[in-house]
Amino acid sequence: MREIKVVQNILEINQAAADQNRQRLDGNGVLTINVMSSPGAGKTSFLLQTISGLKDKAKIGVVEGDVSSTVDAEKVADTAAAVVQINTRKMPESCSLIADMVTLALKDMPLEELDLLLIENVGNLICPSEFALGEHKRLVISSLPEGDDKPIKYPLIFTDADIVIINKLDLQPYVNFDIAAFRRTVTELNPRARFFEISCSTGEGIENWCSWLLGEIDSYKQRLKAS
Amino acid sequence: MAVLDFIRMHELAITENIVAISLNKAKEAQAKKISSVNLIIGELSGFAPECIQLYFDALSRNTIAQGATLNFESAPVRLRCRNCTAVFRPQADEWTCPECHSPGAEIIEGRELYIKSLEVE
Repeated sequence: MREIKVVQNILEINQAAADQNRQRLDGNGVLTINVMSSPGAGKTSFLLQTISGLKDKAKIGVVEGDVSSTVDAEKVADTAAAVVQINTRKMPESCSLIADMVTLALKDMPLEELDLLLIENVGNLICPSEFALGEHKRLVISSLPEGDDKPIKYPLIFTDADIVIINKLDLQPYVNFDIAAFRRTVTELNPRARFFEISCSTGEGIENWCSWLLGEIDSYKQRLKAS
Repeated sequence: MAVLDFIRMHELAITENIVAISLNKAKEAQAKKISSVNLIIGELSGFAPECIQLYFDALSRNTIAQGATLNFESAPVRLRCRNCTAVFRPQADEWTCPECHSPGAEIIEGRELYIKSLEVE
């Protein structure tokens, strides 16, 4: 019996695939956002609101990794420029997208036509935080009925988030969610996080979010041009 | 609309990598059998060791890694205070700095997942 020293990061293989995805996306100038949340926080509604808010302003593709019903998928398919569905719907044991799945999905995407790609990850606050997909930005949605303690229970996903969306603002009178305390906890973990408070039901905050996102698409394209 | 089908837990993806890396390193060392794989897994990492072993048993069948034991060594969480830069281990969910009591901390250890070594014959 003998021992071989290895010391190799196991996630390097996923990271390598993610890096390749990123290169393809940059080659086509497609700003890509990995959208993550627990089940029911409003990922699909958020995609629909974002797509309609950017209508005629940006061409948007969607990779659907989490589909709660075919109705949702069809609605997204109706409004987005292109949709690829990674089918995890009948399989409750699928808990996260990984970079390889996105590589396959990108093959079916008309990337050269797109400005923005939204990847809807599987509804889960643990597993998706481990796998880079090649995205430029990581976005986490927290909704008021979930409670304001999620960043304490699931610190990793908030530590890595570039954007934190606080959704279901219209339910504030009915639930005990301390928005200021929530924002404080996330900022302590991750001073970089940028917050948007919205309601996908009433449309509150969507305009503000969409105009910021449009600015990000512009500055991303300018950065690409400059490099 | 293109539909791609996948059935997998996230542990499956990384176990495939563990098997591939192990077989590769064992081959380089001209080993005949892998008896154990020693892994370091951070306390904050979201992977379940039992689940990795289960997938490993299935994926290593008919290879020189068949029957190998996975030994998991847990790597503790270490944080660095964003205010005074003190490095500390958090107590449960409490990430406040024990030195200056400020709440902002950066994770410096506890997320890792790597193969440390293999025991081979």
